[in-house]
Amino acid sequence: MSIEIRHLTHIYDVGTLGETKALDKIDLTIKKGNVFGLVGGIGSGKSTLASLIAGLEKPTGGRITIDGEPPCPGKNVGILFQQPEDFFFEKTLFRDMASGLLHSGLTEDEVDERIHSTLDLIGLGRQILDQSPFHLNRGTLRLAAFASVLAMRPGVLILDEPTASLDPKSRKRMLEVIEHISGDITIIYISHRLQEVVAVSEHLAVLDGGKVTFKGTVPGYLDWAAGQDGGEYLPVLSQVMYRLYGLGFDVDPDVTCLDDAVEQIRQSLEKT
Amino acid sequence: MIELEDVSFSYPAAGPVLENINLIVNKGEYLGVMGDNGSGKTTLARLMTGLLLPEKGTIRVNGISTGDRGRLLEIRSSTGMVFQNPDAQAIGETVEEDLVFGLENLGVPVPEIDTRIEQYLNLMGIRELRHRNIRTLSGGQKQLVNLVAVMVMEPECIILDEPSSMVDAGTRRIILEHIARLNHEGTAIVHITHDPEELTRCQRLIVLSRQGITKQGTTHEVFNQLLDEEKMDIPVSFAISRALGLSPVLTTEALLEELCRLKSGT
Repeated sequence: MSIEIRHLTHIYDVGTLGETKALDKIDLTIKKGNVFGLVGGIGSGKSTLASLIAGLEKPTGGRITIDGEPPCPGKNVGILFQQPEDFFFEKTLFRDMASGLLHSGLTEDEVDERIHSTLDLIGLGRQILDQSPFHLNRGTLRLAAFASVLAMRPGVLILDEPTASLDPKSRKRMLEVIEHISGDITIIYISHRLQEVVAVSEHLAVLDGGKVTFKGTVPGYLDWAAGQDGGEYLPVLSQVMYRLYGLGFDVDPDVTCLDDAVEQIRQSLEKT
Repeated sequence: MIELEDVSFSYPAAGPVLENINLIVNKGEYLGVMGDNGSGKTTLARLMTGLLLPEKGTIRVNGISTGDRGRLLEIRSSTGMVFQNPDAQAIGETVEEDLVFGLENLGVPVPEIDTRIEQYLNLMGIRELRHRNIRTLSGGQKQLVNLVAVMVMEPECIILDEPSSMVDAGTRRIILEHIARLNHEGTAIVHITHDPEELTRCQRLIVLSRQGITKQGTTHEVFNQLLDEEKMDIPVSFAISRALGLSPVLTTEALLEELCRLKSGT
């Protein structure tokens, strides 16, 4: 499903001391099946935009459509919240995963099929379904929460900091799953881990103070980020490579793999 | 400052999480804690602040056992914890209410409460959030507010559980600089994270697993061991410098300086 965002504005706590314009006339088009990265500082409006695309709040101005329709949570759009494992509450993981699906009107057999096929899709063993969510580690629970949202079969899936607080092994697993399912689902990937955003996204937008300050492809983003003061929009490896490039080293600043970076630096040193 | 002696802990039905942990956090030191999900890092933090009591062994904060519930206020006023999940820490409706709560409990005089709140919100660059409803803040803004909520109490030791997992690189840099400054001024820091780039200022690192503390030593020693085992939890500059056969460095600046020196042949 494709997403059209036009002149989107959102203001919190209108008329109070805390009145804040979180989004200011945003225009974005996100193509069907794309993994779209959303980057920005704290309070830049990322979570607000996610909440509006997910249909959890109504914008105070402008509009969002998903294939021409307004967002409808649980129907055409799903969201994986930050720290989603904290929302588990049932005795077994199966009951937790089933509760949303049963509320959406599916029969028990359909719920079984959805849960099992989704676990297969993301490579989680079915044996975890009988376990208590409180006995599973954070990495497994995060994937299970992801499976719960995916089982609703949304056309658009918003992932808000999906790898925060995960260890390197679990982060790698999450990124592999996202790569595996992309193409069928339009994914909005929000993260401060720039190395990961660059690795999984096809297009990116940067929000700053509620406005879009960059939108384009990953190479375009890296070039744009290299020109920003302090280079803080660049992943750490790219910061090193761009600065070496600027210091006259014969390296490709857009390299995103550590081993390739080491080899290029080695060769550049050998030439001198 | 904090002493753990043969400490074990298990959650009902979840089995043991920590077993026979011996650890000392010295006054004014900066200790980094790494470990996979489920290795007991957060449990360790909660034990250190008296939020959980050990099943076996003892934990003392400035010589006071965390089991001595009559002296809990003394423990809480000397150690502060920034939670991993920012929603688990917020108490008030607005940012101001949230910050006032802890200071009132410590018996800080009202005029000083106002001064401290203004001072620390300014320091972290979030003064404009003072009257905001916490519900409307982003995850990253909540993390900053939680950090301020602990900083205003001016404890002797701050325990940080993934304090910047939801903030951008610029804000993370600011947070790390303030943590380093507090440490420089004498505050002990226990910093739990999965991001090795955050730990380059630590004096000492430990790695936790279900087997207990599996690695400990200086930051260089532990990163060297992790690299030997081909673990991924290494700062980029450390990994590049070692792969090139150089003396390992922890920061981008140090790496660039060394590479430029080699390039110019000096």
